[in-house]
Amino acid sequence: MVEPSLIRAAREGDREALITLLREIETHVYRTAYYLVGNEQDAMDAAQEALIRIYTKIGSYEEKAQFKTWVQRIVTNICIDKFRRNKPTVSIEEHEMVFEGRDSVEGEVMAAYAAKDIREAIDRLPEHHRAVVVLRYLQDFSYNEIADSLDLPLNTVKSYLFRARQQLQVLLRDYQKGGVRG
Amino acid sequence: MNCQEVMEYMQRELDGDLTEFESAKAREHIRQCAECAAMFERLKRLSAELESLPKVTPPISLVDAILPKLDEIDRVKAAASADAGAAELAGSAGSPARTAPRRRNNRFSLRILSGVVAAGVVAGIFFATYDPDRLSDSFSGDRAAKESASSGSSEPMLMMDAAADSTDAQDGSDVSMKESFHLTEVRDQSGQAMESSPGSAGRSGDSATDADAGSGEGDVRMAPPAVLQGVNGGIESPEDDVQMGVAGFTEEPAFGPVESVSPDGSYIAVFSESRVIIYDRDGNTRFESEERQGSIAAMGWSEDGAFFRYEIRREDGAGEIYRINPADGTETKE
Repeated sequence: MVEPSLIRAAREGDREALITLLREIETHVYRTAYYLVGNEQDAMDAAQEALIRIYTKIGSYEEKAQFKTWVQRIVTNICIDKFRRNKPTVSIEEHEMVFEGRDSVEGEVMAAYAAKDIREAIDRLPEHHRAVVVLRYLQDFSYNEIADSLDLPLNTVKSYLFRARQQLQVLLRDYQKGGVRG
Repeated sequence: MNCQEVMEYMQRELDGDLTEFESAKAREHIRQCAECAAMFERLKRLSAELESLPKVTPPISLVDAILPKLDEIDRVKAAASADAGAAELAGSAGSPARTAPRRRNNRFSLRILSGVVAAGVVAGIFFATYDPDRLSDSFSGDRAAKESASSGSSEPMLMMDAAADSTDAQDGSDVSMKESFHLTEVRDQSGQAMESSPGSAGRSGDSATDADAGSGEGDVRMAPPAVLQGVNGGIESPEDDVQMGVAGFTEEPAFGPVESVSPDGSYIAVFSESRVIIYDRDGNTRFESEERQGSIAAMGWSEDGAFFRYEIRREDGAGEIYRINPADGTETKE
Protein backbone atom coordinates (compact mmCIF):
# COMPACT_ATOMS: atom_id res chain seq x y z
CA MET A 1 0.00 0.00 0.00
CA VAL A 2 1.51 3.26 -1.14
CA GLU A 3 1.22 6.28 1.16
CA PRO A 4 -1.42 8.71 -0.15
CA SER A 5 0.80 11.62 0.87
CA LEU A 6 3.57 10.28 -1.35
CA ILE A 7 1.21 10.02 -4.32
CA ARG A 8 -0.03 13.55 -3.70
CA ALA A 9 3.49 14.96 -3.52
CA ALA A 10 4.40 13.12 -6.74
CA ARG A 11 1.33 14.52 -8.50
CA GLU A 12 2.22 18.03 -7.43
CA GLY A 13 5.59 17.80 -9.14
CA ASP A 14 7.90 16.57 -6.37
CA ARG A 15 10.38 14.58 -8.43
CA GLU A 16 11.98 12.83 -5.46
CA ALA A 17 8.55 11.67 -4.32
CA LEU A 18 7.75 10.43 -7.79
CA ILE A 19 10.97 8.42 -8.02
CA THR A 20 10.36 6.94 -4.56
CA LEU A 21 6.85 6.07 -5.67
CA LEU A 22 8.14 4.31 -8.78
CA ARG A 23 10.57 2.31 -6.65
CA GLU A 24 7.73 1.19 -4.42
CA ILE A 25 5.60 -0.06 -7.29
CA GLU A 26 8.24 -1.44 -9.65
CA THR A 27 8.00 -4.99 -8.31
CA HIS A 28 4.22 -5.02 -8.68
CA VAL A 29 4.49 -3.66 -12.19
CA TYR A 30 7.15 -6.19 -13.14
CA ARG A 31 5.25 -9.13 -11.64
CA THR A 32 2.14 -8.44 -13.68
CA ALA A 33 4.23 -7.91 -16.80
CA TYR A 34 6.13 -11.15 -16.19
CA TYR A 35 3.02 -13.29 -16.00
CA LEU A 36 1.35 -11.48 -18.89
CA VAL A 37 4.18 -11.61 -21.41
CA GLY A 38 5.69 -14.87 -20.14
CA ASN A 39 9.42 -14.14 -20.12
CA GLU A 40 11.88 -12.02 -18.25
CA GLN A 41 13.23 -9.88 -21.09
CA ASP A 42 9.85 -8.77 -22.46
CA ALA A 43 8.64 -8.27 -18.89
CA MET A 44 11.57 -5.92 -18.22
CA ASP A 45 10.81 -3.94 -21.36
CA ALA A 46 7.10 -3.73 -20.68
CA ALA A 47 7.59 -2.81 -17.01
CA GLN A 48 10.07 -0.06 -17.88
CA GLU A 49 7.73 1.32 -20.49
CA ALA A 50 4.93 1.30 -17.91
CA LEU A 51 7.07 3.11 -15.30
CA ILE A 52 8.04 5.77 -17.83
CA ARG A 53 4.39 6.23 -18.73
CA ILE A 54 3.50 6.56 -15.05
CA TYR A 55 6.29 9.12 -14.66
CA THR A 56 4.99 11.26 -17.50
CA LYS A 57 1.29 10.73 -16.79
CA ILE A 58 1.19 11.09 -13.01
CA GLY A 59 -0.51 14.47 -13.47
CA SER A 60 -3.46 12.79 -15.13
CA TYR A 61 -4.05 10.36 -12.26
CA GLU A 62 -7.24 11.33 -10.45
CA GLU A 63 -7.57 10.50 -6.80
CA LYS A 64 -11.08 9.15 -7.19
CA ALA A 65 -9.54 6.05 -8.75
CA GLN A 66 -7.36 3.73 -6.71
CA PHE A 67 -3.70 4.29 -7.43
CA LYS A 68 -2.90 0.57 -7.65
CA THR A 69 -5.65 -0.07 -10.21
CA TRP A 70 -4.48 2.93 -12.24
CA VAL A 71 -0.95 1.51 -12.25
CA GLN A 72 -2.13 -1.97 -13.20
CA ARG A 73 -4.26 -0.55 -15.98
CA ILE A 74 -1.18 1.05 -17.51
CA VAL A 75 0.97 -2.07 -17.31
CA THR A 76 -1.74 -4.46 -18.54
CA ASN A 77 -2.49 -2.17 -21.49
CA ILE A 78 1.14 -2.15 -22.50
CA CYS A 79 1.49 -5.92 -22.09
CA ILE A 80 -1.67 -6.76 -23.97
CA ASP A 81 -0.50 -4.46 -26.73
CA LYS A 82 2.86 -6.20 -26.87
CA PHE A 83 1.31 -9.62 -26.68
CA ARG A 84 -0.98 -8.86 -29.60
CA ARG A 85 2.03 -8.07 -31.71
CA ASN A 86 3.76 -11.35 -30.96
CA LYS A 87 1.03 -13.94 -30.96
CA PRO A 88 -2.42 -14.10 -32.50
CA THR A 89 -5.26 -14.21 -30.01
CA VAL A 90 -6.93 -17.59 -29.73
CA SER A 91 -10.32 -18.28 -28.28
CA ILE A 92 -10.70 -20.20 -25.06
CA GLU A 93 -12.63 -22.96 -26.83
CA GLU A 94 -9.59 -23.73 -28.93
CA HIS A 95 -7.58 -24.37 -25.82
CA GLU A 96 -9.54 -27.43 -24.95
CA MET A 97 -8.30 -28.99 -28.16
CA VAL A 98 -4.75 -27.89 -27.51
CA PHE A 99 -4.80 -29.52 -24.08
CA GLU A 100 -6.16 -32.77 -25.41
CA GLY A 101 -3.55 -32.87 -28.12
CA ARG A 102 -0.74 -32.28 -25.69
CA ASP A 103 -2.22 -34.71 -23.26
CA SER A 104 -2.05 -37.67 -25.56
CA VAL A 105 1.56 -37.05 -26.46
CA GLU A 106 3.11 -35.60 -23.35
CA GLY A 107 0.75 -36.67 -20.60
CA GLU A 108 3.32 -38.29 -18.38
CA VAL A 109 5.83 -35.51 -18.72
CA MET A 110 3.15 -33.00 -17.80
CA ALA A 111 2.26 -34.92 -14.66
CA ALA A 112 5.80 -34.51 -13.42
CA TYR A 113 5.88 -30.79 -14.05
CA ALA A 114 2.46 -29.73 -12.84
CA ALA A 115 3.44 -26.38 -11.33
CA LYS A 116 5.51 -25.36 -14.30
CA ASP A 117 2.72 -26.32 -16.64
CA ILE A 118 0.21 -24.25 -14.76
CA ARG A 119 2.31 -21.28 -15.76
CA GLU A 120 2.43 -22.49 -19.31
CA ALA A 121 -1.30 -23.00 -19.25
CA ILE A 122 -1.77 -19.43 -18.02
CA ASP A 123 0.37 -18.35 -20.93
CA ARG A 124 -2.04 -19.99 -23.32
CA LEU A 125 -5.14 -18.27 -21.99
CA PRO A 126 -6.59 -15.49 -24.11
CA GLU A 127 -5.04 -12.20 -23.01
CA HIS A 128 -7.93 -10.81 -20.98
CA HIS A 129 -8.58 -14.10 -19.22
CA ARG A 130 -4.90 -14.23 -18.36
CA ALA A 131 -4.91 -10.63 -17.15
CA VAL A 132 -7.85 -11.38 -14.85
CA VAL A 133 -6.07 -14.42 -13.38
CA VAL A 134 -2.84 -12.47 -12.89
CA LEU A 135 -4.55 -9.56 -11.14
CA ARG A 136 -6.55 -11.94 -8.94
CA TYR A 137 -3.64 -14.15 -7.88
CA LEU A 138 -0.49 -12.09 -8.27
CA GLN A 139 -1.89 -8.72 -7.20
CA ASP A 140 -4.59 -10.09 -4.88
CA PHE A 141 -7.20 -7.81 -6.46
CA SER A 142 -10.95 -8.03 -5.82
CA TYR A 143 -13.46 -8.41 -8.64
CA ASN A 144 -14.08 -4.67 -8.52
CA GLU A 145 -10.41 -3.78 -8.59
CA ILE A 146 -9.87 -6.06 -11.57
CA ALA A 147 -12.85 -4.47 -13.33
CA ASP A 148 -11.38 -1.00 -12.73
CA SER A 149 -7.93 -2.01 -13.92
CA LEU A 150 -9.06 -3.70 -17.11
CA ASP A 151 -12.00 -1.42 -17.81
CA LEU A 152 -14.32 -4.43 -17.96
CA PRO A 153 -17.82 -4.85 -16.50
CA LEU A 154 -17.91 -6.75 -13.21
CA ASN A 155 -19.81 -9.68 -14.70
CA THR A 156 -17.28 -10.02 -17.48
CA VAL A 157 -14.48 -10.16 -14.92
CA LYS A 158 -16.24 -12.98 -13.07
CA SER A 159 -17.01 -14.86 -16.24
CA TYR A 160 -13.39 -14.57 -17.46
CA LEU A 161 -12.00 -15.67 -14.11
CA PHE A 162 -14.40 -18.61 -13.77
CA ARG A 163 -13.82 -19.81 -17.30
CA ALA A 164 -10.08 -19.48 -16.93
CA ARG A 165 -10.10 -21.53 -13.73
CA GLN A 166 -12.37 -24.13 -15.26
CA GLN A 167 -10.00 -24.40 -18.17
CA LEU A 168 -7.00 -24.68 -15.90
CA GLN A 169 -8.59 -27.35 -13.70
CA VAL A 170 -9.13 -29.56 -16.74
CA LEU A 171 -5.36 -29.62 -16.95
CA LEU A 172 -5.01 -30.30 -13.26
CA ARG A 173 -7.47 -33.21 -13.42
CA ASP A 174 -5.23 -34.79 -16.02
CA TYR A 175 -2.20 -34.50 -13.77
CA GLN A 176 -4.06 -36.20 -10.97
CA LYS A 177 -4.92 -39.11 -13.19
CA GLY A 178 -1.31 -39.53 -14.19
CA GLY A 179 -1.85 -38.10 -17.63
CA VAL A 180 -4.67 -40.45 -18.56
CA ARG A 181 -7.87 -38.69 -19.43
CA GLY A 182 -10.94 -40.10 -17.75
CA MET B 1 -29.80 -26.31 -6.78
CA ASN B 2 -28.30 -27.88 -9.91
CA CYS B 3 -24.65 -28.64 -10.64
CA GLN B 4 -24.22 -25.63 -12.89
CA GLU B 5 -25.41 -23.23 -10.21
CA VAL B 6 -23.14 -24.96 -7.73
CA MET B 7 -20.22 -24.52 -10.11
CA GLU B 8 -20.65 -20.76 -9.93
CA TYR B 9 -20.96 -20.93 -6.14
CA MET B 10 -17.78 -22.95 -5.92
CA GLN B 11 -15.99 -20.44 -8.09
CA ARG B 12 -17.17 -17.55 -5.96
CA GLU B 13 -16.28 -19.46 -2.79
CA LEU B 14 -12.65 -19.51 -3.99
CA ASP B 15 -12.72 -15.72 -4.04
CA GLY B 16 -14.45 -15.43 -0.66
CA ASP B 17 -17.50 -14.00 -2.38
CA LEU B 18 -20.22 -16.24 -0.85
CA THR B 19 -22.47 -15.35 2.02
CA GLU B 20 -22.77 -17.80 4.89
CA PHE B 21 -26.15 -18.89 3.55
CA GLU B 22 -24.93 -19.46 -0.01
CA SER B 23 -21.94 -21.33 1.29
CA ALA B 24 -24.18 -23.67 3.31
CA LYS B 25 -26.35 -24.34 0.27
CA ALA B 26 -23.33 -25.18 -1.85
CA ARG B 27 -21.93 -27.51 0.85
CA GLU B 28 -25.22 -29.30 1.04
CA HIS B 29 -25.16 -30.04 -2.69
CA ILE B 30 -21.51 -31.04 -2.66
CA ARG B 31 -22.17 -33.60 0.10
CA GLN B 32 -24.65 -35.37 -2.14
CA CYS B 33 -22.91 -34.97 -5.52
CA ALA B 34 -19.61 -36.79 -5.97
CA GLU B 35 -18.92 -35.07 -9.25
CA CYS B 36 -19.24 -31.58 -7.81
CA ALA B 37 -17.21 -32.62 -4.77
CA ALA B 38 -14.37 -33.78 -7.03
CA MET B 39 -14.65 -30.60 -9.06
CA PHE B 40 -14.50 -28.46 -5.94
CA GLU B 41 -11.39 -30.30 -4.76
CA ARG B 42 -9.67 -29.66 -8.09
CA LEU B 43 -10.68 -26.02 -8.12
CA LYS B 44 -9.42 -25.53 -4.59
CA ARG B 45 -6.14 -27.17 -5.45
CA LEU B 46 -5.81 -25.08 -8.62
CA SER B 47 -6.54 -21.92 -6.67
CA ALA B 48 -3.89 -22.87 -4.10
CA GLU B 49 -1.39 -23.50 -6.92
CA LEU B 50 -2.18 -20.13 -8.42
CA GLU B 51 -1.76 -18.45 -5.05
CA SER B 52 1.66 -20.03 -4.65
CA LEU B 53 2.98 -18.97 -8.05
CA PRO B 54 6.45 -17.47 -7.55
CA LYS B 55 6.30 -13.81 -6.55
CA VAL B 56 8.90 -12.85 -9.12
CA THR B 57 10.91 -9.67 -8.68
CA PRO B 58 12.86 -7.75 -11.32
CA PRO B 59 16.47 -8.97 -11.69
CA ILE B 60 17.73 -5.38 -11.52
CA SER B 61 16.19 -2.13 -10.33
CA LEU B 62 13.95 -0.98 -13.14
CA VAL B 63 13.83 2.58 -11.82
CA ASP B 64 17.62 2.81 -11.89
CA ALA B 65 17.56 1.50 -15.43
CA ILE B 66 15.15 4.16 -16.65
CA LEU B 67 16.62 7.12 -14.74
CA PRO B 68 18.58 8.38 -17.78
CA LYS B 69 15.37 8.38 -19.82
CA LEU B 70 13.50 10.20 -17.06
CA ASP B 71 16.28 12.82 -16.96
CA GLU B 72 15.91 13.27 -20.69
CA ILE B 73 12.16 13.77 -20.34
CA ASP B 74 12.82 16.37 -17.66
CA ARG B 75 15.32 18.16 -19.88
CA VAL B 76 12.73 18.52 -22.61
CA LYS B 77 10.22 19.82 -20.09
CA ALA B 78 12.77 22.29 -18.73
CA ALA B 79 13.54 23.50 -22.23
CA ALA B 80 9.81 23.90 -22.76
CA SER B 81 9.33 26.05 -19.67
CA ALA B 82 12.36 28.13 -20.56
CA ASP B 83 10.64 28.75 -23.86
CA ALA B 84 7.44 29.64 -22.03
CA GLY B 85 9.37 32.11 -19.92
CA ALA B 86 10.74 33.75 -23.04
CA ALA B 87 7.28 33.91 -24.54
CA GLU B 88 5.91 35.51 -21.38
CA LEU B 89 8.65 38.11 -21.33
CA ALA B 90 7.98 38.89 -24.96
CA GLY B 91 4.28 39.37 -24.18
CA SER B 92 2.93 42.58 -22.69
CA ALA B 93 3.20 42.90 -18.90
CA GLY B 94 0.03 42.03 -17.04
CA SER B 95 -1.18 39.84 -19.85
CA PRO B 96 -3.96 37.52 -18.66
CA ALA B 97 -1.92 34.49 -19.68
CA ARG B 98 0.59 35.32 -16.96
CA THR B 99 -2.02 34.83 -14.27
CA ALA B 100 -2.82 31.34 -15.44
CA PRO B 101 -1.57 28.58 -13.12
CA ARG B 102 2.03 27.67 -13.67
CA ARG B 103 1.33 24.05 -14.49
CA ARG B 104 -1.04 24.99 -17.23
CA ASN B 105 1.57 27.19 -18.81
CA ASN B 106 4.07 24.37 -18.68
CA ARG B 107 1.80 21.96 -20.40
CA PHE B 108 0.86 24.51 -22.99
CA SER B 109 4.41 25.43 -23.75
CA LEU B 110 5.46 21.80 -23.91
CA ARG B 111 2.98 21.44 -26.70
CA ILE B 112 4.38 24.51 -28.37
CA LEU B 113 7.86 23.10 -28.18
CA SER B 114 6.78 19.80 -29.61
CA GLY B 115 4.96 21.79 -32.24
CA VAL B 116 8.15 23.54 -33.10
CA VAL B 117 9.98 20.23 -33.17
CA ALA B 118 7.33 18.65 -35.32
CA ALA B 119 7.03 21.59 -37.68
CA GLY B 120 10.79 21.73 -37.93
CA VAL B 121 10.99 18.07 -38.78
CA VAL B 122 8.31 18.46 -41.41
CA ALA B 123 10.01 21.47 -42.83
CA GLY B 124 13.23 19.49 -42.98
CA ILE B 125 11.57 16.61 -44.71
CA PHE B 126 9.75 18.75 -47.19
CA PHE B 127 12.67 20.96 -48.00
CA ALA B 128 14.96 17.98 -48.31
CA THR B 129 12.74 15.76 -50.35
CA TYR B 130 9.96 17.85 -51.83
CA ASP B 131 9.62 17.18 -55.51
CA PRO B 132 6.38 18.25 -57.16
CA ASP B 133 6.69 15.59 -59.86
CA ARG B 134 6.97 12.78 -57.41
CA LEU B 135 3.87 13.51 -55.41
CA SER B 136 0.54 13.46 -57.11
CA ASP B 137 -1.96 16.18 -56.31
CA SER B 138 -4.17 13.64 -54.66
CA PHE B 139 -1.66 13.03 -51.97
CA SER B 140 -3.40 14.71 -49.12
CA GLY B 141 -0.45 16.28 -47.36
CA ASP B 142 0.65 17.93 -50.53
CA ARG B 143 -2.86 18.97 -51.43
CA ALA B 144 -3.46 20.42 -48.00
CA ALA B 145 -0.37 22.54 -48.28
CA LYS B 146 -1.48 23.79 -51.67
CA GLU B 147 -5.03 24.46 -50.55
CA SER B 148 -4.03 26.36 -47.49
CA ALA B 149 -1.42 28.26 -49.41
CA SER B 150 -4.01 29.48 -51.86
CA SER B 151 -7.06 29.92 -49.66
CA GLY B 152 -5.63 30.34 -46.19
CA SER B 153 -7.90 27.48 -45.12
CA SER B 154 -7.56 26.55 -41.48
CA GLU B 155 -8.26 22.86 -42.18
CA PRO B 156 -4.75 21.48 -42.47
CA MET B 157 -4.74 17.89 -43.67
CA LEU B 158 -1.20 17.27 -42.69
CA MET B 159 -1.31 17.60 -38.97
CA MET B 160 1.68 17.39 -36.74
CA ASP B 161 -0.03 16.80 -33.42
CA ALA B 162 1.04 19.73 -31.31
CA ALA B 163 1.66 21.91 -34.32
CA ALA B 164 -1.98 21.41 -35.14
CA ASP B 165 -2.88 22.10 -31.52
CA SER B 166 -1.13 25.42 -31.51
CA THR B 167 -3.01 26.47 -34.60
CA ASP B 168 -6.24 25.29 -33.00
CA ALA B 169 -5.43 27.36 -29.98
CA GLN B 170 -5.66 30.46 -32.09
CA ASP B 171 -9.22 29.71 -32.94
CA GLY B 172 -9.83 30.69 -36.50
CA SER B 173 -6.99 33.12 -36.72
CA ASP B 174 -5.53 33.17 -40.16
CA VAL B 175 -2.98 30.36 -40.06
CA SER B 176 -2.10 28.55 -43.21
CA MET B 177 -0.30 25.25 -43.29
CA LYS B 178 2.40 26.86 -45.35
CA GLU B 179 3.28 29.20 -42.54
CA SER B 180 3.48 26.48 -39.96
CA PHE B 181 6.24 24.87 -41.92
CA HIS B 182 8.43 27.80 -41.04
CA LEU B 183 10.19 27.37 -37.77
CA THR B 184 10.43 31.01 -36.86
CA GLU B 185 6.88 31.79 -37.82
CA VAL B 186 5.53 29.00 -35.72
CA ARG B 187 7.44 30.37 -32.83
CA ASP B 188 6.09 33.86 -33.33
CA GLN B 189 2.58 32.54 -33.51
CA SER B 190 3.15 30.58 -30.36
CA GLY B 191 4.20 33.76 -28.67
CA GLN B 192 1.02 35.41 -29.87
CA ALA B 193 -1.02 32.54 -28.59
CA MET B 194 0.44 32.98 -25.16
CA GLU B 195 -0.44 36.64 -24.89
CA SER B 196 -3.27 36.78 -27.38
CA SER B 197 -6.60 38.16 -26.12
CA PRO B 198 -8.19 39.10 -22.79
CA GLY B 199 -9.75 35.66 -22.55
CA SER B 200 -6.58 33.82 -23.28
CA ALA B 201 -6.06 32.36 -19.80
CA GLY B 202 -9.30 30.48 -20.07
CA ARG B 203 -8.66 29.60 -23.65
CA SER B 204 -5.24 28.16 -23.08
CA GLY B 205 -6.81 26.01 -20.39
CA ASP B 206 -9.47 24.85 -22.81
CA SER B 207 -7.04 24.09 -25.53
CA ALA B 208 -4.87 22.11 -23.15
CA THR B 209 -7.91 19.99 -22.36
CA ASP B 210 -8.73 19.61 -26.01
CA ALA B 211 -5.22 18.55 -26.76
CA ASP B 212 -5.34 15.89 -24.08
CA ALA B 213 -8.58 14.56 -25.44
CA GLY B 214 -7.25 14.62 -28.95
CA SER B 215 -4.01 12.86 -28.35
CA GLY B 216 -5.48 10.40 -25.91
CA GLU B 217 -2.92 8.32 -24.10
CA GLY B 218 -0.15 9.58 -26.38
CA ASP B 219 3.27 9.25 -24.89
CA VAL B 220 5.73 12.00 -24.54
CA ARG B 221 7.71 11.16 -27.60
CA MET B 222 11.33 12.02 -27.63
CA ALA B 223 13.28 13.21 -30.56
CA PRO B 224 16.91 12.09 -30.63
CA PRO B 225 19.15 14.58 -28.86
CA ALA B 226 20.82 15.68 -32.08
CA VAL B 227 17.49 16.72 -33.54
CA LEU B 228 16.47 18.46 -30.33
CA GLN B 229 19.69 20.38 -30.30
CA GLY B 230 19.06 21.63 -33.76
CA VAL B 231 15.65 22.83 -32.75
CA ASN B 232 16.85 24.40 -29.55
CA GLY B 233 19.43 26.31 -31.49
CA GLY B 234 16.64 27.71 -33.57
CA ILE B 235 14.70 28.75 -30.50
CA GLU B 236 17.53 30.46 -28.73
CA SER B 237 18.41 32.58 -31.72
CA PRO B 238 15.20 33.44 -33.47
CA GLU B 239 17.10 35.70 -35.85
CA ASP B 240 18.60 32.66 -37.54
CA ASP B 241 16.54 31.91 -40.55
CA VAL B 242 14.78 28.66 -41.23
CA GLN B 243 17.54 27.37 -43.44
CA MET B 244 19.78 26.81 -40.42
CA GLY B 245 17.33 24.49 -38.82
CA VAL B 246 16.62 22.74 -42.08
CA ALA B 247 20.29 22.19 -42.76
CA GLY B 248 20.58 20.57 -39.34
CA PHE B 249 17.76 18.21 -40.12
CA THR B 250 18.94 17.19 -43.53
CA GLU B 251 22.34 16.28 -42.13
CA GLU B 252 20.71 14.10 -39.50
CA PRO B 253 19.45 10.98 -41.22
CA ALA B 254 17.74 9.51 -38.15
CA PHE B 255 14.67 11.67 -37.80
CA GLY B 256 12.89 11.79 -34.51
CA PRO B 257 9.37 10.42 -34.39
CA VAL B 258 7.01 12.18 -36.76
CA GLU B 259 3.35 12.21 -35.84
CA SER B 260 0.08 12.91 -37.58
CA VAL B 261 -3.34 12.97 -35.97
CA SER B 262 -6.32 11.92 -38.08
CA PRO B 263 -8.79 14.73 -38.87
CA ASP B 264 -11.38 13.43 -36.39
CA GLY B 265 -8.78 12.80 -33.71
CA SER B 266 -9.45 9.04 -33.55
CA TYR B 267 -5.98 7.95 -34.54
CA ILE B 268 -2.44 9.12 -34.40
CA ALA B 269 0.13 7.89 -36.88
CA VAL B 270 3.73 7.88 -35.72
CA PHE B 271 6.72 7.31 -37.96
CA SER B 272 9.49 6.10 -35.71
CA GLU B 273 12.43 3.76 -36.14
CA SER B 274 11.64 3.16 -39.80
CA ARG B 275 8.07 2.04 -39.29
CA VAL B 276 4.63 3.57 -39.10
CA ILE B 277 2.53 2.78 -36.05
CA ILE B 278 -1.11 3.78 -35.76
CA TYR B 279 -2.44 4.29 -32.26
CA ASP B 280 -6.05 4.87 -31.35
CA ARG B 281 -7.37 7.45 -28.91
CA ASP B 282 -6.66 5.17 -25.94
CA GLY B 283 -3.06 4.61 -26.92
CA ASN B 284 -3.65 1.08 -28.17
CA THR B 285 -1.66 0.02 -31.20
CA ARG B 286 -3.98 -0.52 -34.13
CA PHE B 287 -1.42 -1.15 -36.79
CA GLU B 288 2.31 -1.46 -37.11
CA SER B 289 3.98 -1.48 -40.50
CA GLU B 290 7.05 -3.44 -41.42
CA GLU B 291 10.40 -1.75 -41.24
CA ARG B 292 10.84 0.51 -44.28
CA GLN B 293 14.14 1.10 -46.00
CA GLY B 294 14.51 4.81 -46.51
CA SER B 295 13.21 8.07 -45.15
CA ILE B 296 9.63 9.22 -44.96
CA ALA B 297 8.97 11.74 -47.70
CA ALA B 298 5.36 12.63 -46.97
CA MET B 299 2.43 11.49 -44.92
CA GLY B 300 -1.19 12.44 -44.40
CA TRP B 301 -4.70 11.33 -43.61
CA SER B 302 -7.61 11.12 -46.00
CA GLU B 303 -10.23 13.76 -45.29
CA ASP B 304 -12.58 11.28 -43.59
CA GLY B 305 -9.75 9.76 -41.55
CA ALA B 306 -10.36 6.32 -43.08
CA PHE B 307 -6.91 6.00 -44.59
CA PHE B 308 -3.42 7.06 -43.75
CA ARG B 309 -0.98 7.35 -46.65
CA TYR B 310 2.74 7.83 -46.58
CA GLU B 311 5.58 7.85 -49.00
CA ILE B 312 8.95 6.25 -48.33
CA ARG B 313 11.90 7.59 -50.26
CA ARG B 314 14.52 4.91 -50.63
CA GLU B 315 18.19 5.69 -50.79
CA ASP B 316 18.26 5.06 -54.54
CA GLY B 317 15.66 7.80 -54.89
CA ALA B 318 12.74 5.53 -55.70
CA GLY B 319 9.50 6.24 -53.88
CA GLU B 320 6.95 3.84 -52.44
CA ILE B 321 3.49 4.88 -51.35
CA TYR B 322 1.56 2.88 -48.80
CA ARG B 323 -1.98 3.19 -47.61
CA ILE B 324 -3.06 2.02 -44.13
CA ASN B 325 -6.63 1.34 -43.12
CA PRO B 326 -6.60 1.69 -39.32
CA ALA B 327 -10.11 0.27 -38.94
CA ASP B 328 -9.21 -3.19 -40.16
CA GLY B 329 -5.45 -2.91 -39.60
CA THR B 330 -4.40 -3.51 -43.19
CA GLU B 331 -1.82 -1.89 -45.40
CA THR B 332 -1.60 -1.84 -49.17
CA LYS B 333 1.17 -0.67 -51.41
CA GLU B 334 0.02 1.68 -54.14
